Amino acid sequence: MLPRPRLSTAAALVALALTAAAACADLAGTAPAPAGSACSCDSLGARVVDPVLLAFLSKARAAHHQADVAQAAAQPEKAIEALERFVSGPRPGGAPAPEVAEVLADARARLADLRSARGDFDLAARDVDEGLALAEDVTHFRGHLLEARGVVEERRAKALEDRGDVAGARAARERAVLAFQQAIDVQDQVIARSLRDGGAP
Amino acid sequence: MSDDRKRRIVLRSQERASDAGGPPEAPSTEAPSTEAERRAAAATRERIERGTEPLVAALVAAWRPAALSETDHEALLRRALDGDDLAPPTAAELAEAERLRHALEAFEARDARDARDETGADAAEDPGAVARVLRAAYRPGSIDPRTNDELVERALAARAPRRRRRRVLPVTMAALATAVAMAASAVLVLRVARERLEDPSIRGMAAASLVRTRSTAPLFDESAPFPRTGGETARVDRIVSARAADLRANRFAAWGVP
Repeated sequence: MLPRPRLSTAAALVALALTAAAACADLAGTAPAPAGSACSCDSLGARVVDPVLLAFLSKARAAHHQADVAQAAAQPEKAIEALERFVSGPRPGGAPAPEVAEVLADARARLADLRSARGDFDLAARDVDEGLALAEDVTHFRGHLLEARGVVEERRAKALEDRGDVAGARAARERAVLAFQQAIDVQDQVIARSLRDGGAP
Repeated sequence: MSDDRKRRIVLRSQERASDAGGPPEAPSTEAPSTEAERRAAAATRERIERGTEPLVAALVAAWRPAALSETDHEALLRRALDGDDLAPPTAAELAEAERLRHALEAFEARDARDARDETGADAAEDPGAVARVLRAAYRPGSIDPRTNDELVERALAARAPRRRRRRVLPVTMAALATAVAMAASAVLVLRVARERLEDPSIRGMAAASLVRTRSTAPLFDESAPFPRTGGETARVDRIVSARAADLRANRFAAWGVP
């Protein structure tokens, strides 16, 4: 049996805890959707900037910085590993927000560059395709991915040529040219839009 | 033959006459004497025989005053005429002081429950009682450790519980009242916050001011395409910085801070 002063303190703490729990339960009915749910939306259904989005973007920043350190140490395989871990990891639920799509697309473009430099042309082409599936809007992110495809095919053509695969090299070179042209078209559209809008950011 | 001896002879002859069936006494209407009364009478008789019974001594002195010694006479004159309280004691005072000293010594040497002085007086009539009390107040002696512990324990047991009972209840009630008041305040604050959120006008204002997700393209110079290689880290740094500012703005909007 607790002494009386400690009993009164315990009773007071229990009363406070119960009241706090009731108050939290009260508020829970009107609290915004918890992190990780399909949509952190406002009352109009539009998705708002929330901590989950920030956490994902911060993770992307960390992955790119890790890749920078690895490349500076002449360890491209570690850079690829860091970026692959990011693009394959969890992302905010529901349809990807524009920021999520563009950051993933940019990471895919970098992966394609790193892999094609090591001769992994198929994996690099897959990265480009994944990125283009995310960055569908006419932005420099899409243009950059198309340019990355051109680089991949250009390197592939060079490698095939070195192996004596003339036909393969020619086909790759054609794909590269096409990709570069598509990149130019997208970037022209973006620039034109910018000039049309008076160059406002 | 001294007067005292004569007095004793008279008393004894009266007793013998009574025992020998002397002149018949009138039938007594008083209750027979108790043992305590007989003991008190014997003690009084002994004091009279010794000449220490105060009343008898005063009567004898009034009927037949004895001669004063030169020392006593001088002491009495000094006190009466000069007001000298420091005059030497008289013989009677010296005898009384001696008797008091014997009584004090006898009490200390014997059991207090059965304290009797040399004259056979009861402890209740011990003339040294006042002197002992005064001496204990002036120079208290040591107390037996067991007796001391017993007295302390008795005192604490008698006082402490009452004191604790008086203090615990008000403190407990004050603590509980404080806890309830704090809990009620917390509920009130949270309820007000919830009402603000539920107020359509407030929610509308909050919703309108929340920053939504959108393309990051406007963060970059659209007139200049991205470089063919490199620049990814700088781009993602800029994106994170911009969206962090948006998140802060959304938090302030949710709290109702303009």
